Amino acid sequence: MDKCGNKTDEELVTLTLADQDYFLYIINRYKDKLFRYIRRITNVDPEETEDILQEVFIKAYTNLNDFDQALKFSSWIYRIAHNQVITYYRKTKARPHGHSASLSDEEVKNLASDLNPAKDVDIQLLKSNIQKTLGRLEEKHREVLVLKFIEEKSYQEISDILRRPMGTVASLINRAKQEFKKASK
Amino acid sequence: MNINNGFSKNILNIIKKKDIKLKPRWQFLLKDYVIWSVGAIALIIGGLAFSVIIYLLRYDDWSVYGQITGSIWEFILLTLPYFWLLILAVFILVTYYNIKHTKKGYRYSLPMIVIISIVASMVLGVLFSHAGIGRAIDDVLGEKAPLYTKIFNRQIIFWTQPEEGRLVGLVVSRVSDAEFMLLDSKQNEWRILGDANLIEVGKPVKLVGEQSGENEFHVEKIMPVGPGRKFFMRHKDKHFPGPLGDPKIMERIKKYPEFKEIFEQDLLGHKERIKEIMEKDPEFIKNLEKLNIAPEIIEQLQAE
Repeated sequence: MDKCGNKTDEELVTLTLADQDYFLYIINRYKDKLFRYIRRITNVDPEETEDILQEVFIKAYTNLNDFDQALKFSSWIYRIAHNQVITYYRKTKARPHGHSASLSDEEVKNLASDLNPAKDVDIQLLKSNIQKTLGRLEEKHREVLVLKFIEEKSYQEISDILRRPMGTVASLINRAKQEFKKASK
Repeated sequence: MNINNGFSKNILNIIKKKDIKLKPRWQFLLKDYVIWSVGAIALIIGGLAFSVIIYLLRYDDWSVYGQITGSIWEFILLTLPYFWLLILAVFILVTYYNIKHTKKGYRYSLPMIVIISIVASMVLGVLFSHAGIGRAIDDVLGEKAPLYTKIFNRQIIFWTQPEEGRLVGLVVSRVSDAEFMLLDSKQNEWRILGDANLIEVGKPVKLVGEQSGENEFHVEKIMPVGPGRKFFMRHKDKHFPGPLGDPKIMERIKKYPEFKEIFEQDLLGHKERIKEIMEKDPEFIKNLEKLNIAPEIIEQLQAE
């Protein structure tokens, strides 16, 4: 299992294209990250999240030849996860309205410090309510905050995941931060 | 919270059990090529439309707008090539759509893609225009396209308003130094009073002046026809099909010697076509004789 631990994502893709068994390493590398990501941007229970995730990996495998080596593989597979969540909502006709994955202290600190709550919001209150606050945000605002402050993606990566220009991503993050501050009061 | 380790193997088993295959690379490449090709074709069509717009606007008689309309704005509104502007807009949109749907198209903002599409179409349009393509397109459409004056070049209609002091048509005869005959776009015959030394029989002209009778026009300014010039050459085609062709034109051939001269030159210039017509229509030569076409020309045609 560890024999591919030092291989890059792109190398694993190349290996998988020749031998499907290598896809196992890609799944292992991304399953927990994507599971948490899906849980954070939706409100589905763990079983349903696994179903969505299963579809994500099957789609990723089917479309592996479409992966553009000029992009980061993580952006590409996060994009598939993003699309699969949208497909799930379309199928179930539900909308995300909560935020169910727990956050680590590090993630909370990261989100809280960047939102500069010293002036506006009590940091302890923000920490305790951060999950609820995220859950109250519009899905596009929640997702962009999750990507930026919890998944710690760069603007370029967020642009590649959401398929929006970087300028749009920047203003989306700004609006989301404002919404977050409002919602946390 | 993490997922149990069986999850990964389970997915791989599903892939194997259901025999899920990788979509072949060519499918993705084909999609990319289609998007790029349609975008490129749209860009080229936009460029072609822009080159026609340049051609139409360049010969839009800006120097006489004061004489023929109340203001520059009225002139622009009346003579703008709306059809070509619409075509340009549609293909700029198609270019935009295709750029947006390329693999990295999402990285560019909407205004940037729109500006890129517009600028690219215009640059191509200028290049095409320099190569004479705008003129060539207008010539071909003028010669062949149905509804040419209603769709492709409404300037012809704008210039066929003698009551407003505008007239365009084909010079069919020079009567004297101060009088010539003109056929307008609706094939009406006009007696034009003015300097006939400035015209050439067989060429279309634009006239600014005043209607002085039912089919009489007093000319103040004579200008050559740019866009639409081939539209007035359509009469050439009408000679050939059928035993007598267009009776109106046949009558004019009889009536105006210069017109007959042009017709004779056309016959010699289209020998291959005449040969085909003669094979299909044995009466054709007899009809030429009825039109008093020079016997040596008929002999040349028969010899071919």
